[in-house]
Amino acid sequence: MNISTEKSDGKVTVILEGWLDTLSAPALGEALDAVESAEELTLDFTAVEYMSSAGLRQVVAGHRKAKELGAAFSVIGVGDEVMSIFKLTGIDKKLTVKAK
Amino acid sequence: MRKQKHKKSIAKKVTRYVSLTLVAALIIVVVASFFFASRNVRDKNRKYSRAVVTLFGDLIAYEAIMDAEENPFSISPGNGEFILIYSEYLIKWFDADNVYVYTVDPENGTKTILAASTKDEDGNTESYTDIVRNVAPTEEEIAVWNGEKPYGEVISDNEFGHEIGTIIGESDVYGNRYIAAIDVNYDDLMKQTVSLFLVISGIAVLLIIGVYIAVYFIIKKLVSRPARELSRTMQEFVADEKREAITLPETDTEEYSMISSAFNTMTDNIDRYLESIKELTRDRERQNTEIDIAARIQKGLLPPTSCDSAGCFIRALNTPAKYVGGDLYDYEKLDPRRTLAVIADVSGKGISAAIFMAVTLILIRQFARTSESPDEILRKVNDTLSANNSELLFVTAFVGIYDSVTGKLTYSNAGHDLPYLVGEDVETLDSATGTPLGLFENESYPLNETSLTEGETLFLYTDGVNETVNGEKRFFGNDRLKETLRGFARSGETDAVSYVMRALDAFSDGAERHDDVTMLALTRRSELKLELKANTKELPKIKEAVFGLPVSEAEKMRLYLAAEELFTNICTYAYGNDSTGDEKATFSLTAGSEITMRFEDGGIPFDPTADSGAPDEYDVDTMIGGVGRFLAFSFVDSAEYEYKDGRNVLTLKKKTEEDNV
Repeated sequence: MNISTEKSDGKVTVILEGWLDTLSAPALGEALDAVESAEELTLDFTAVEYMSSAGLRQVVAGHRKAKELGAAFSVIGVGDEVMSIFKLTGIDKKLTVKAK
Repeated sequence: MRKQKHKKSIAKKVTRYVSLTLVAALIIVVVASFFFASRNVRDKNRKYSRAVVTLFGDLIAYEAIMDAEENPFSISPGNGEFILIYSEYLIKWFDADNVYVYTVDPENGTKTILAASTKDEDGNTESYTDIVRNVAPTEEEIAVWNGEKPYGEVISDNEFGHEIGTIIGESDVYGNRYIAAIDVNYDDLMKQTVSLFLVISGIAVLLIIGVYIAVYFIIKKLVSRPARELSRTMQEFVADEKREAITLPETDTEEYSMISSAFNTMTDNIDRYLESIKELTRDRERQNTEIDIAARIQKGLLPPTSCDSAGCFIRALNTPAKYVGGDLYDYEKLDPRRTLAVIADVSGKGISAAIFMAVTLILIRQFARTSESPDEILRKVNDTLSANNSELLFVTAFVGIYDSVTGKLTYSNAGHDLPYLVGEDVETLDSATGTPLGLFENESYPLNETSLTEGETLFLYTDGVNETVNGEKRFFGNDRLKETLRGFARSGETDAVSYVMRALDAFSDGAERHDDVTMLALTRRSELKLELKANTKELPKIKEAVFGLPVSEAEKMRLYLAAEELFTNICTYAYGNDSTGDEKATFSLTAGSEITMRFEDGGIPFDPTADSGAPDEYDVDTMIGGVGRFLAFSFVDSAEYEYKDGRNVLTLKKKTEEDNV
C-alpha cells in the first residue's frame, strides 16, 4: 500500500493506493497522526482495491482526527467492492463516503 | 625445484677417470719399461759380446796365422799386441770391465787365458797374455767349450762388483777351440736401466699431469660450462612467470649447439603452448560462465517446481544432463479455473537445443493466451517453428489444459511420450498423437479429453525418465515407470515427481545421466491445507491460497476478506495476551462447487459466530470490535463453529458463482 498526503490551503488529502488490510492499515493511522491541522480532511480511495475491517477502523480514526481538528471529513473515489464494506457496516451513512 | 644432492662436475669426474686410467697406464709403462730396459740392455750386451767375441776370436786366429810357426795355442807377448789393442778398444766401446780370450781344459780343471784386458777402478786399461790359471771351468764354460751351447752367461760377484759375463765358444781356422768372454758390470747395467726407467716414468708422469689438466679444462670448457649455462637457463625458464626471451647462447660444439637449438625451440613452443592454454582456459571459463548464465536463464524461464492451489497441485522437475538442456515443462493459470500444463523435449542437446527450447517455451506461452484449446496451441507453435527452422530441430510436446473445478483435461500430443494418469491404477493416455513440432507446416493435432477424479494425478515426463540407464546399461523403461507410479499411488505421498526421482536415482545408482530428466505432475486435490503460525504475518500465504481458487476475482477478494478478518481474530485473541506469535493455526481451503475455508487453532475456546449479528448502526465515535467478524460472515453462505479435541474449528462455506468465472 502506498500512502501520500497532499496539503493546500487547509485542505489535507491522504491518497491511498492498493490494499488497505490488516497489514497495511497501521500505515494509514500513522499518516493521519501526522496531520496537525486541517480545515478539510479527505481520504482519496480512488486507487484502493480492497479494504478489510482494519482499514475501516483507520477510516473511522480519520473521522475522529478531523473532528479533533475541527475539520470536515470525507472519503472519496470509493470503488464498488470497497463501497460494499462501507454499506454493510452502515458507515456510509455516518460519514461522507463518495463513490467513484 | 627439488633439492639435489651435491654432485661432482663432469669435468672432475672425467678427469678422475682419465687420471685413474693414466695411473694404471703409468704402472704398466713403468713395469714394462723396467722389464724392457733390462732385457734390452742384456740382449744388446749379449749381441755385442757375441759380435765382439767372434771378432776377437777371429783376431786371435789372425794372430795365429801371422805367427803360424809358433804354437797356435799361445799368444806370445810380441804377437798379442794387436789383440790387446783391440781388447782395450773393446773395453772402451762396450764399457766392459774385462775382455778375455781363453781355453779351458775340463779334464785338468784349468783355464788358460790367451789374452785379456782389464779395466781398473780408475778406468785405466791393463792388458796381458798367456796366463794359466788353475781355476776350474764352470759347467757353462764346459758346455760352451764343447759346443753344446753357442754362448753362455756367467754371473759373478768379484772385486769389481756384480758382474755379468757373456762367453762364446769359437774355433780358429786350425780347429783350435777358445772362448771369448766379456764382463760387464751388472750394477752399471742396472743403473742404465733404472735411469732409462726414470726418464720414461718421469715423462709419463708429466704426460699424465698434462693430460689431466688438459682434459679438465677441455671438459670444463666444452661440457661443464655449457651444461651449467643450460641448467641455469632452464631454471630461469621454469622460475620466470613471464618467460620473456629466455634463450641459450650458441656454443661451438655440435652437441651443445643441438641442445641449445632444441632448448630454444622447446621454450618457444612451451611459451606458445602456454599462451594458447591460457587463451583456451580463458575461453573455457568464459564459455562456462556463459553456459552457467544460459542455464540460469533457462531455469528462470521455467516456473517454480511446485505450485499448490486448491483443486490443482503441481510438482515439476527439470534436471539437464549437461548445464543446459532441451527439455522444458511449463504450467500457467490461464484463468481462475484453467491451468495449462506442458512438457516438451527438443531433439539434440546443448546450447542449440536450449535456444530452441526457449523459443518453444515462449511460443507455447504466447499462443496459450490466444488459443482456445491445446490442439490450437500446438498447431500455431508448429507453424511458427517449422517456418523458421533451418537446423531442422524438432520438439515433441504434450499440452494439456486442466479445469480445476470440473477436473476436465483437454490435451493434444505432438509425438511426445504418452503421459500417465495415476489414480487407483496407472493408465496410459494413449490417444492419437500428431507429428513433432517444427518439421512440417500445416500439421493438425488431435484434441483429446479426459477427466481427473479427486486425488488423480496427470504424470508428464520426457524420455530422460524412462531412458535413464543404470551401471549395467539397462533402461529404466516404461514398465518400471508405471510400477513406480503404482507404488506412489499406494504410498500416500503427495509428490509424484520426487517419488519417481528417488526411484530413478536408486536405479541409476550414480551412473552418468545422458539425457535431461523432466517431469510434471498435476494432481486434482481439492483441499489445500496451510500449517501456519497464529500471526498476521502469515496473511500473505492465505491470500495466495485464496487467490489461487478457481473463482472470479471479486469472489476471491470477498473470500479473502472473510479469511483475513477471521484469521486476524485468531491471531489477536486465541492465544490471549501472552501470545508469542508463534502458536499454531491451520487454514484449509477446499475448492469445488462449494468453497470451504476452515480455521483451526488450539487457543482459548471462542465461538466467533455468536453475537455477531449485523449492527444496524455503528457508533463511529466508539467503534467496537466485531465489525470484522460481521463482515466476514456477510461474505459467506454459512459459518459453523465447534470446539473439538481442544481445538477451535471454524468452517466457512460459500457456493461458487459459476457465472462469475
